[in-house]
Amino acid sequence: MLYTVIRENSYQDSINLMLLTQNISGMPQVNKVQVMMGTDANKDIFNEAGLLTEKAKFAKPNDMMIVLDADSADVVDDVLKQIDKFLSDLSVKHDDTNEETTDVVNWDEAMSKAPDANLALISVPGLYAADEIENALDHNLNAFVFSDNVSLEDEARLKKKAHEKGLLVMGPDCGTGIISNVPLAFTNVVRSGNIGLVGASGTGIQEVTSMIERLGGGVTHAIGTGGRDLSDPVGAITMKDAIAGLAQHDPTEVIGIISKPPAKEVRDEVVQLLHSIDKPVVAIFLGEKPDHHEGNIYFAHTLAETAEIAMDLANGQDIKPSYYDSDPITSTDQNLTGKKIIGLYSGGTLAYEAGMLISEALNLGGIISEDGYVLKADGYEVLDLGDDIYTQGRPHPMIDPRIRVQKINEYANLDDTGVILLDDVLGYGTDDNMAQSLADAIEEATRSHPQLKFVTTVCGTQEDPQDYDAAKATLKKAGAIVCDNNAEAVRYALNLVGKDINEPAKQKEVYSGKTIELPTPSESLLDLLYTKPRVVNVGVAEFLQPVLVFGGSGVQYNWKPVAGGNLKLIKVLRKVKALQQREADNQKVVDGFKNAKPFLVDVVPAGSVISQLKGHTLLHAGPPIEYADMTEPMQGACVGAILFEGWANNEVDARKMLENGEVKFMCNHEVQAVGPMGGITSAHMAVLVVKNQLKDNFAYCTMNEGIGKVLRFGAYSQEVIDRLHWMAEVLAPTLSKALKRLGGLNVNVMMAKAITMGDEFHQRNIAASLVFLKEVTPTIMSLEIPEKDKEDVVQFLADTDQFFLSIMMATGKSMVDAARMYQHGTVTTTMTRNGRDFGIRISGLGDQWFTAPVNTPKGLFFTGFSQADANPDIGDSAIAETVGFGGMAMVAAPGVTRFVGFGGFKDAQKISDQMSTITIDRNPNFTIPTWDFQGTATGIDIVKVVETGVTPIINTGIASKVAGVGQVGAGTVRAPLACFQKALVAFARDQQLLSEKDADDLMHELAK
Amino acid sequence: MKQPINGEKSNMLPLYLSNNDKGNVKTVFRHSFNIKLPRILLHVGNAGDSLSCLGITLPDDVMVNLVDLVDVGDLVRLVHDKLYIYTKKEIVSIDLKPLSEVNLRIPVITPKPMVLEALSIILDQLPFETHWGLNGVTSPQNIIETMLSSHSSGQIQSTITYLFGRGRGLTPSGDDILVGFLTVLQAFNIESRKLWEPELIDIMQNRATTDVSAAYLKATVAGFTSERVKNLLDCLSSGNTSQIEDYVLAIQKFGHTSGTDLLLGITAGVANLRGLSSRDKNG
Repeated sequence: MLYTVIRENSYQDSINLMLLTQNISGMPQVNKVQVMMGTDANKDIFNEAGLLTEKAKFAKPNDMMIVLDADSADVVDDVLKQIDKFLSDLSVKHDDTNEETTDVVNWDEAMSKAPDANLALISVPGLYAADEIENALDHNLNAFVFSDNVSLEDEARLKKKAHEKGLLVMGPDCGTGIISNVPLAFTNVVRSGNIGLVGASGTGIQEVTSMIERLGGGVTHAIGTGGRDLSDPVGAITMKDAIAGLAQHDPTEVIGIISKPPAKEVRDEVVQLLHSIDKPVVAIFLGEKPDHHEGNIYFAHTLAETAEIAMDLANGQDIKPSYYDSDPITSTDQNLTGKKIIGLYSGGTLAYEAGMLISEALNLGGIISEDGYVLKADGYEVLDLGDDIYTQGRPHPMIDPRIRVQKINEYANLDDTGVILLDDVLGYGTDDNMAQSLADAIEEATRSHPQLKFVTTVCGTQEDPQDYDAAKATLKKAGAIVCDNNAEAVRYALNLVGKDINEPAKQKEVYSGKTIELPTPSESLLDLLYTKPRVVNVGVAEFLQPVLVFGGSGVQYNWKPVAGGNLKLIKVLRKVKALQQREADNQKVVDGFKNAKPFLVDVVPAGSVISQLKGHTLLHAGPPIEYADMTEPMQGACVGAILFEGWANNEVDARKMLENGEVKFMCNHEVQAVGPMGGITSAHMAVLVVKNQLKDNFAYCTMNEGIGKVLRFGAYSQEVIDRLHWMAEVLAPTLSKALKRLGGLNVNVMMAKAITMGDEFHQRNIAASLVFLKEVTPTIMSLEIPEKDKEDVVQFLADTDQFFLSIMMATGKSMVDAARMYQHGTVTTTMTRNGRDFGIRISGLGDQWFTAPVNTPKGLFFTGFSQADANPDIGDSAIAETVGFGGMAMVAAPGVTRFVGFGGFKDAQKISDQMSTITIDRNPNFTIPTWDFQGTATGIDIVKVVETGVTPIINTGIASKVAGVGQVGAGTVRAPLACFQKALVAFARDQQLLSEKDADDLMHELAK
Repeated sequence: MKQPINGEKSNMLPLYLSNNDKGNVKTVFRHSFNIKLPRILLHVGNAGDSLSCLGITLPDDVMVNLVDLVDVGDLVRLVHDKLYIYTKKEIVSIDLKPLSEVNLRIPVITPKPMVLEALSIILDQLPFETHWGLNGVTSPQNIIETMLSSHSSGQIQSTITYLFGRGRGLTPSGDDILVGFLTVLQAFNIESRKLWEPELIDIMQNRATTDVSAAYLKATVAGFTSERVKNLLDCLSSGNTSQIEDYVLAIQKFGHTSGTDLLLGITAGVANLRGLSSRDKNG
């Protein structure tokens, strides 16, 4: 039985998920389990594994898909617990380091934290790798690309771009590299030395560098190029640039080249370049069998010979005619006559070398590349178990021994099998206990098949994280023959079955071909070669550790698929980000927020200042919506407003009017107004009037009615209507008189005080309400109005903790409307919700709405209510977050954090820190003591939102979904990403960065 | 790669360094290290110590890091005036070009009786018997008398053979004494140096002492000395007797007994110069 759990927006990198899968696979009663992110490629893998359930089909790229094959549903809970435990261990580790490190979530932050970075280490899923390489190049960084699955076309294009910029792209699919002795990705620890390598082969580099280290030499740079660099389309761009760099790198005396056979023309170009430098070179084109050396180039046949020639050159010694013993290195094992050699390799190049040597010795027709086989002829088989066919959806065999253990069992049981060749590749990134796992499998196999021989090689150094000597000892103890290098192991295996290699001596011949003028390496390349790398580590966090340990520096970029992994949006983002004027435009808009001078000047009937409130017109919260589409609280508020205005005498008649379309609706936002929750505003309701002296514009908001049954939550009982009348007829005129006598109240001053007292102005306004009360009460008391009115007004204000919320909302509206007058850029100038849609506006596109379905807030509920009672997100109060308050300023209100469902102060700070990653600036008018007096984060940039996938978090009250019940809790809710994405597409279209058709297609896709 | 700058270098180095010289780190001390290159044992020390004629000095903080990184056996190459030291973790480069060159050539001094008298008084007060390195083997006075009475090639050869490599430590006391003595012979251009130097070179080819000591003896024969000895010689040359004692005491601080041994050699050289054949009190 298959069980599916989809965890939305739970991004984890593939290595963590692979380790997790491995971790839970061994649990009792689990037949099969797979945990992956919900990309299309991963769904294909699920499909092939028979695990693509209906539920899994709908997972998004940022969702974690867990599909479990188990006999009982009881197991699911255990698995989920184990997943939580595993991931929480990771996150705890992360949390600890976060305190000290400088983790970032986008390129801008990365470059800000590491302005002198010179290398991006990219290990993101292949689908996104090309974009990240491009980003790295655009930031003038060299790129080391661990990721694979980049198209050849992209590789050629990006390498050309890098070359033109004087940068180097190492990879893609570059598993190994050493830059200034800093090991990158899966790499052995090698001392510095006068040998520099350039290799289009991961384990080829590992084998050669490890041998050089063990022979007492050293390698300072081992530049991986990726396996396709020497193909025709790429033309060895990276290899040629790297050779030119090493030629000018004084500490490098000897250059080594490692590659599989390249395209002929490319090979000729590379060889000519090598002949043109004044340093000795050792070159191996695996698969070619050189019969002489030429000029300054010494051609090797095996990786071991490459290392030995390099060592002799490095020590200034003469090159030997041959580096192979003339006699077999062991005698024939008569038990193995007629038996076959099987190679089960984790290292691709080691497999290739084994296949090559066996094929040459037995004349088997050469290397193949089919279904993971490097050699499959006459019963001799060599498998590269790191081939895509074996690694899709499961860890590489250098990390996870299972596939090799399985293959050892399979081949051991075949009668023909005489010798099994194995490699154990040590170094950073590989499994710490591989030798033991292999040893266990070897022991088990030899118990049943005592004549079977295992010949192994350990590729590593004494300085590797694993113990090189212990690994060898473990394998020996299990009965394996352990050779010093792969070529020796293959030869040993051949000797056991009565065969041998043929390695004729090589003489040096004079080079008579042409040489070329050496290209001058760029300053960036020389900087890379002469200094320790300064790394932006994009992706797998573990890769940063060796960089730091070996003297490099770096910043961890906790990469998530940009724009939710949508490749079209990624391209749009890049185009929009390239707009020269955008940042200046955005700053101008945000300056509008920062320079606002809001004054609370009056309280008046809405109809007196909002000319559109004529006849049967009501204003509502959020983007446009018709009555039929409203959720119950908003509909209930409409009924209440009609009763308040006297357009009908009872609920039934009121509803008839509404259902018959006799009431015209407008958005508050379209008439300079805002309203909390339902936001329903009618002509005779009192509104606060805030004037922003920056542009002398006005904004309005209905007053807070207190708690309990209130119109904004959809209540419309007589008690509600009576209160609204009192507010319009007593409270409003009283406050109006007081405010006029005071000459208005400077809202910035009140808010600046209150934010230091623990308010964030959305969920908590008690301090600001008290400051307001302090400001107005003496004046109210001095008014010539009935004493009872004074008493009632002051008591109401004193009882209404959230009274200031509406003042803040009118203030926020006055701020954005002033800023919106500059109609450029990508700043979010409105966020609001109507219970169905979340709507935003952005600075560059004026009054256009961009909407997406609202989420439902989550939080704490009053006794007797639960999440099931919650109405979807509603209200104009998200104007708070639009200008930097509420959820954006969560850290200001530690008292709120628990109420809104977070653990504590640190969680609040994390929220605000996260919000500051999607904003443009800080507002110094509102400094937060608990945030080291940083100003509120303000100016939400849709580009940052789409890029990071981090959407604004909104603190909100939670309305009952049943009209009239009122508030049932409080919590937080995320703005939906889609409205920001749509705004971005529209902006790109407006800027003519996107054709109408492409924009329409994308909009259509986003609307799904 | 770190590129330390600010420091000093001996003016002897250009004579013994060539582009593409290759060697190894030979010895590593607490604050300095030696690099064995084809024609010189290069001393890399910190600025707080005296500049050796065989070496360079670098700022103390740079040296702390360097000493931490380098290890005996590390490959070293000199390319375009940059020393590249291939340490385990990284290549360290030391650019020799920006270092200030210090003249450590032994000056030729015209003897001034008053100055020599002042120097002798200070040297005579030094506690040679208790602080030198051959304590318990012979006496300082015996050594001085032996050196002063070595006139023929045979006698000189016998004296050098006795002293060469004798004693413990990185620079055996006998060698230090010879360095001091030969330095004076050179500085005052005393005729007998023409006998002493060839004999020493001959013996060095056939007998062994430490590499460091051999390097200093060769440097002395080549006409170079350390910064502290150079200061003393310059002082003697200028005739300024007031600073002689300070410079003598600075030399005395070399190593465990090296400074005292060197000064004993200088004492013998000065005695030779002044024609004194004996001394009537212990040094």
